[in-house]
Amino acid sequence: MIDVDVQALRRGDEVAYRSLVKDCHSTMLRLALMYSPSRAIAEETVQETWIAVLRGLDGYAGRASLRTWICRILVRIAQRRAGIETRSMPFSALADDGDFAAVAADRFFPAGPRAHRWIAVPDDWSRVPEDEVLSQELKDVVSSAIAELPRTQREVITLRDVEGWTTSEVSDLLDIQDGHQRVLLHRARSRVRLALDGYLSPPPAMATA
Amino acid sequence: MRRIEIRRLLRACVVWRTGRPDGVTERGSRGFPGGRGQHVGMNYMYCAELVERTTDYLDDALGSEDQVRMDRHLHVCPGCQAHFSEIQVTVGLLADLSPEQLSAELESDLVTMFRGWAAGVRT
Repeated sequence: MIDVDVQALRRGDEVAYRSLVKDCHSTMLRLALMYSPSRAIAEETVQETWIAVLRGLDGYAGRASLRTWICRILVRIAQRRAGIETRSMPFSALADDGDFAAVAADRFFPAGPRAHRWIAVPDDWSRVPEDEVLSQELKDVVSSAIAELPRTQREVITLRDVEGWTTSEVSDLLDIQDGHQRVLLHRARSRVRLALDGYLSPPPAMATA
Repeated sequence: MRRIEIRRLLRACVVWRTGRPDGVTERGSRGFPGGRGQHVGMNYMYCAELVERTTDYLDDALGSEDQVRMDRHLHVCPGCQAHFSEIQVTVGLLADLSPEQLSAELESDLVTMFRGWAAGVRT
């Protein structure tokens, strides 16, 4: 996605810089917004990050991808501005969410010959008309569901599913293990799915009528 | 509760008797208390387990054994197929969100800042 020559940047090539800024902006702003009370403050964080990136460019060794390196700087700055001491993920990020279930337990038979199987078959969303799936209303449902997630889940789902980062890039950025990341991603996706359920599945009253 | 315990014991007996972890006997499942002749082995992936493995599945992070268990279950379970379609629509919608726009004002600030930095680099 980012095809900017770091050497060109170091030489002061403005075209290379503009293209990098454009490529990274959406991800950077989304990350900054997670730590900022307003868009204006998030944009200040982005700006401060670019200053730090240019100053630190000679120190970029290419161990992480360029966008991971830039976003690491951004998260550090955003956390400092938000008054968060450490960037390491608290152990409680998973423990707080211990009773999590991707699908409510009461959707499955608790016992009997059909134990742990669906009581009623879920709705098949592949049958939802395309214009409904692509509607702005649905995008808004998804955006607000993301905004309500715990921050670590929000970071993971935003980078993986919204911005299309790879597993290893996200693990690099957030200093977490791949397995841990998948747990967070799974919980986040499940919550977004649940938010969509109210819009895409017929209401239960109709389903049982 | 008690019935479930007994069933678990019986199932373990079947595995011991047949030596097969999926519990399928040579003569089929008749007589096994699986209900309506619908027999499942200990290795069976239930719907309630499957819904917790969808992310690992899509990430190719299931072990090969679980991958087979899940493929088998998905193949025959309309409920889990539907749930899986919901997850796929969810992931598709996430990928479809519009990117955050770079405002003209911020872009101009960033370029001005770059020019100042580049002037320093060149001298």
